[in-house]
Amino acid sequence: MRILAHNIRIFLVVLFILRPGTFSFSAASETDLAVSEHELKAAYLYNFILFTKWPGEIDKTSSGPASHIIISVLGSNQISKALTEVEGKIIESKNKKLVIKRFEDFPGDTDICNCNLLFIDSSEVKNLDKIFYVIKKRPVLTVSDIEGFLEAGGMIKLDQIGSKLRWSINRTAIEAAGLQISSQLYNLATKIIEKPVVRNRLVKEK
Amino acid sequence: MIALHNITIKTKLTVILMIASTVAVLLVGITTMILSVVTTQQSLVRNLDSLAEVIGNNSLATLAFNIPEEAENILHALESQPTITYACIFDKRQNIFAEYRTFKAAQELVQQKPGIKKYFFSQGNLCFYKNLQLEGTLIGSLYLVDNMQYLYETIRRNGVILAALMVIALSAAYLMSHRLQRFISQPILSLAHTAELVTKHNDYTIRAGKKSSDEIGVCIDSFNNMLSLIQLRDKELRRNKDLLNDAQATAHIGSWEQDCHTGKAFWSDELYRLLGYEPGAVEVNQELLVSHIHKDDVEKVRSTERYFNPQSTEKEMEYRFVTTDGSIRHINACTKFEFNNDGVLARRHGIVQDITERKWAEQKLIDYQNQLRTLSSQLTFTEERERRYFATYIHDRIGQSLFIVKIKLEALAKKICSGDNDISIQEIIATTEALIKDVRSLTFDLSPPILYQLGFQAALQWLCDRMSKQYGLVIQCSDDHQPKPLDEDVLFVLFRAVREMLINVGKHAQTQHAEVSTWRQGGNMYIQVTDDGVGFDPVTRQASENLCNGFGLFSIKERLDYIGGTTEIISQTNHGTRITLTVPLRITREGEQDFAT
Repeated sequence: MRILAHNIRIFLVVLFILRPGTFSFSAASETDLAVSEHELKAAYLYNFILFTKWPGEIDKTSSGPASHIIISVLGSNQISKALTEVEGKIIESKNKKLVIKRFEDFPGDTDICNCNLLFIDSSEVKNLDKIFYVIKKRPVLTVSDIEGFLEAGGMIKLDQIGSKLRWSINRTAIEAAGLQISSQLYNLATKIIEKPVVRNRLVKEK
Repeated sequence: MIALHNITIKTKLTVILMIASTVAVLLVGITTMILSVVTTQQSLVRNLDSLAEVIGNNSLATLAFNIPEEAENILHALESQPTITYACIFDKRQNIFAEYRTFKAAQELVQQKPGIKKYFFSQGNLCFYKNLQLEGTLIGSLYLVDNMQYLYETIRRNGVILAALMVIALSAAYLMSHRLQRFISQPILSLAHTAELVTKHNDYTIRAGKKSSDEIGVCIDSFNNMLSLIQLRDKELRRNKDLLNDAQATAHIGSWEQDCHTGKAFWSDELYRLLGYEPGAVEVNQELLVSHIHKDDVEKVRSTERYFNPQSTEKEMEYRFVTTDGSIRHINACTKFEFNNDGVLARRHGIVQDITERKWAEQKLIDYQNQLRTLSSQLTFTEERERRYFATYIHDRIGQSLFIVKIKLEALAKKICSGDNDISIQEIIATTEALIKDVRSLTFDLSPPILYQLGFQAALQWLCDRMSKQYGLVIQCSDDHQPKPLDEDVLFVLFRAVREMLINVGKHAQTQHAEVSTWRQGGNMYIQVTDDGVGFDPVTRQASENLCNGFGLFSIKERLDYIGGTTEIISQTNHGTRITLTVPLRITREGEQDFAT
C-alpha cells in the first residue's frame, strides 16, 4: 500500500504539471503522501478526456453543449470530491470548460446521458444495465471499476494491478458510440476486448 | 614559383595546367564535401526531429499516466535505429523518467539535462532535445544521442569517390595538357629555334614559320619583320662602313674607341694600316696603340691624358707614330672622353689623321721661305755693297776729278782774267761746284762714307742731324760708349734701319721729338728709337705693311732676323712708339774690335 501511495504521489505531480493554473489540490498532493485511490482515479478520468475525441471533435462540427466537457460521477462522492480541484478548468485542446455532475444514485432518466464521460462507481453495479439502456449509443465514455464492466458493455475499466492503476478497453463499445480514443490508451491498456455489446442483457435477465 | 623560371615551356605549360586543374578539382571537391557534410547534418537533424516527434507523441500518455516501464518499452523500439546510442525521457522536473542506452553510448553524453540549444554536436555525436507538451503544457522532454555514423559513412564514401574522381580528372587533365600544350609551346619553340639559328650563324635571311594568327602568330610576324629590318640596316651599315673605310683610307684617317670599364678596344681598318698592320690581324688594345707612339712624344701624350677632366672632354694634339716597319708618321689626334654620372671616365674615342705629307709640305715651305728670306737679305747686302761701291767710286773718282776740274778752272780763270771769258769760267766753276755738291749728296744717299770712315756712332749722329734738318725734328742721340764690334754688313743694315725708323717718325708720328739710344749689354748691342707721337697698333700696322709689301718695320724685322737679331716694337695709339733692335756682337779670338765706334 505504501508503494501505491508513492506512485499516486508521482502521478499527482504529473497531474499538477498538466494544470495551467495553481491548484491547492496539486500543492497539497505534493506534500500529502496519503493520496487516496479516489483522487488517483479522478486524475485518470481527467486524463482520459485529454486522450479522447467526441464526434463533434472528430468531424469538426459542433454538437451537444459546445462549450462544456461534462464528467458525470455516479455513486462515488470521494471521486467527485477529488474532481472538484479541476472543475471549471478550460481544456485548451478542445477549448471547452470542464463541468462535473454528481449523482448520488442512478436517477433513472436520461439526465445522466447528458455528459461526455460517465464514471460508474462499483456501488451502482445493480443499475448497470439500466444505465447502459439509458445511454444506448450516445457518445458517452463510460468508465468504471466494476468487474465484468466491459463485458456488460462498458468502455474502460480501471484495474488495480499490483501497486499500479491500469485499465482495459472495450474497443467495440467505444467505436459503436462514435468515440475515438488515442492509440496510446490502447497501447497502455492491459486488455482490449472487441466484443459486440449486447445491451439490456442484464435487464432482460432480471 | 622561381623554380618555374628554369624549366622548359612544355613542362611549364603542363605544370601550370596541372596546378590549375588540381586547384579547380580540389575546390569543387572540397565544396562538394562541405555541402555534403552540411546537407547530411541537416538531414540527420531533420530525421532525428521526426524520430523524436514520433517517440515523444507516443510517450505522452506514459508521462501523463505515469507508466515509466511503458515509456522504456517505447524507447527500446530505438533498437531498430543503430545510430541512436542513447535516449532518455525526462519528466517536467528533469528527473529521468525512462532511459535507453547501448554499449556504444559515450558516458559523458548520457543523462545530459536539457539546455538552451535544441541540438548540439559533441564528441562526434549529435545530441537532440525534444520538449514534450500536453495541453500546451510541458510535461517532460526527450533526449536522443545519434553517433552520426551515417554522416561519417557519407564522408568516407564521398571522400573515396572524390579521390577516385580527382585521380581520374587529373590523369585526364595531364593527358590533355600534355597533348594540348603543343598548340602553344610548338610555335614558341620553333621561334626560339629560329632565333638561336639567327644568332649562331649571324644570318638574318632566316625566317620563322607561322602557323597561327593568334598572339604567337603576331609575335612571329613581328620577329620576321624585325629580322628584315635588321637585314636592311645591316646592309646599310655595311655600305656605310665600306664608305667610311674608303673615306678614311683616302684621307688617311683612322678611328678608335675604348671602353674604359671593360678595356675592350676597337680600331678602324685605316688605323691598322696606318700602324703597319693588316686590318684585324692583331688583337687591339690601348696599350698597343700607346706602344706605337714615338718615345719622344709619349710623355706629351700621357700628360695630356693626365690633366683631362669632365669639363674638358676633347683634346687635340699632334705627335708621331712609329709604324711596324720603323717609319715615322706624323699624326693629328683628336681624342674625346666620356664620363659617367659619377664623373669617372667611361669611354674614350678619337680619330688620328696621318699628316706626314702635310708636315713635309710645310717643312718644305718653311725651307723655301727661309731660302727666299736669305736671298732677299743677301740681295739687300749686295745692294748695299753696290751702293757703297758706287758711292766710293763716285766720291773717290768722280768727286775728286770734279774737285780737280774746279781747281783747274779757278786757276784758269785767274790766268785769263778777261771780261766775257771770266764770266763764262765763273759760271762753269759754279756749275762744277753744284755738280760736286750733287755728287756728294748722291754719295751720302747711296752709302754715307762717314759710316765706314768715322764709325757707326758718328754716322748715327750725322744721320740725326740730317733728319732734324730734313723733317724739322729735335733728335737726341745718346750712346754708352762701350765697344760694339760688328761686321760692316750688319752696320749698314742697322744704319738703314735707324734711318727708316726716323723717316717714319718724321712722316707719321706727328711729333717734333725723337730719341736714338745705343748701348751694349752682355754680348748684344741695343738700338732704341723712341718718339712721343701718335703711335700705332703694331698688329694692324704689320698686316697693312705685309699687304703693301713696303720696306717698313716688317722689312727691318726680316733683315734683323737674317743677321741673328731681334726687333721689339712697343707702341700704343696716342702714347708714342718705342722700337728696340738687338743684334749679337761679333766676338773675335783676339778680343773685341770696335767697328762701331
